[in-house]
Amino acid sequence: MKEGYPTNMSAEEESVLQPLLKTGKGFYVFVGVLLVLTGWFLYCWYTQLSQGLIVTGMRSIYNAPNYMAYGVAGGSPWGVYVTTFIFWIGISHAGIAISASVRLMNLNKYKVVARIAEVLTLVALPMAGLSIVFDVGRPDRLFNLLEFGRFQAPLLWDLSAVTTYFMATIIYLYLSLRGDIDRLALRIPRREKFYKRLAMHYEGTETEKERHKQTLWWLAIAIVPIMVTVHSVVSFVFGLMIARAGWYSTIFAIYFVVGAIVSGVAAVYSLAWIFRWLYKWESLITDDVLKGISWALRNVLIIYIYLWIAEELTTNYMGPSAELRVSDFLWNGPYAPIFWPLVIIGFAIPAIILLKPVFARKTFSPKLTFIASIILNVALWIKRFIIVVPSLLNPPLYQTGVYIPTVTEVSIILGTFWMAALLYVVFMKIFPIIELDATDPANLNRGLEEA
Amino acid sequence: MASVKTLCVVLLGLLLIVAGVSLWVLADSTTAVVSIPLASTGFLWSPLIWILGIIIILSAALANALPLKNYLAWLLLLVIGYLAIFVILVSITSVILP
Repeated sequence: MKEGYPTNMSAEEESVLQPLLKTGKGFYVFVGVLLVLTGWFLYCWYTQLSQGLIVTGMRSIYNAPNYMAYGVAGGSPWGVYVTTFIFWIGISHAGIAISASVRLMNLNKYKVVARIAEVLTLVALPMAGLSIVFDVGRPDRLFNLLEFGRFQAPLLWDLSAVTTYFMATIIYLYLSLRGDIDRLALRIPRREKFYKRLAMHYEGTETEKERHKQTLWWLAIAIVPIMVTVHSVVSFVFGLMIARAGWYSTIFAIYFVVGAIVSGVAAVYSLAWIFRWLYKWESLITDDVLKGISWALRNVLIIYIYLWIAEELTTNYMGPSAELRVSDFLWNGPYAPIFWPLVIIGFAIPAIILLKPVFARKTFSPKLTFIASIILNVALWIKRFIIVVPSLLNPPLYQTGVYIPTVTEVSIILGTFWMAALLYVVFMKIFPIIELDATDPANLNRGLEEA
Repeated sequence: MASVKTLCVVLLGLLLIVAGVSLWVLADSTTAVVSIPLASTGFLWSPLIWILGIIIILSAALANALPLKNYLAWLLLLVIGYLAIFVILVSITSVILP
């Protein structure tokens, strides 16, 4: 037996390895459904590639001449694909952010959700990239980005920032997993060869563990600014466009970063709650851990609502007429049936649920907070939609247009969700979703004492 | 030894990033700071040079933790894997696109 590994599995460790060791009928049904849905998505994407973006809602809806077609004459050239891109980038945010915070601030209590968050980043980033691929008419020219990409273009900043974040995530995840992979070689003998090869001569000595800890600490330091950069750069794609009412704003970078943290933390809470419920991990992901995440979610949500109010006030107080046109489109126009339910159901209700424990102590409900986190994620997708589309539907030189996503478009964006779920499930079948170190009785007790 | 290896990797990554950006800027024939993402200007493939620099600089973490042979295998995997994403997407879509 290697140095540092307990000979027998603790009850907690056995419980964490459940998804790897046992495969029930439910798993096959779930994966089967996901595969069918992914197949439908692939068919829809094939349809779009073979027929062009004309099958989407991002087309001219009036009888405009060809040079005015595709979105500029009454439609929207960006729609649910770009919305979903921002959404996935946002989701990817919290992953490494939570994990890096755990490491940098020694928040051992939250170590049990660190990997749930890291894997979320890993599956969310490719989905963000794919959403952009769906949006471009000629993905066969993708190499042009690397060949001719302009240094001044925010799109190239995006490519560089997302690449950096993705690579940092892979490296960070591998290094944090390496010890566990090595331990898995002992725990699951039938996969020993695979894990041994993947662990790449990991010895598990104190020196090696210390070196890993040190490297991860430095990597975490590097990752925090990278994470902020990624979403700031995404916001620059909008915020630097002077010709579009509703986008040109100095607040956009911080607005996008905070929005991303809200959706990311909400997603991590949702997943942590689902896994706890599914695998009976109440002793690992305790109420206290969930309460801590909900506390973080509540605080960032308040900041986000504050920034939103500031943005709306600035636009509406004495904004230029083009800005008011977009604002009116949302507040009283065709998008009001989306905007007001978003404000009330999407943000006010979750805010009340999250704020309740502040005023009435001992009223924290993990289940209710889970519902709030799900609502918040849906709301944040819609929020991104009303940032992207209304500004494009109210162009300075044309009349107000209409954008209705088609079934093909919706199926394609839903496809990113099915694929993300599939990747997540596959990961959980191969690697533990909770760090095995966090299940060691000594670490569990330390976490509880800190709590 | 590990720190020397890490330092070399960091320096190589930095060199590529600086080289990529500098080459692009030096070869840029436009003065307009407008966001036209694709235009035939600047030094061709320079974005790829600085992106490779970014990948290499990040891999310093692996260089610090893995034996040299394993580190090189990882680095190769990261670079080839990254380019493979483009190659696969471009190949599939160019077959389907009319």
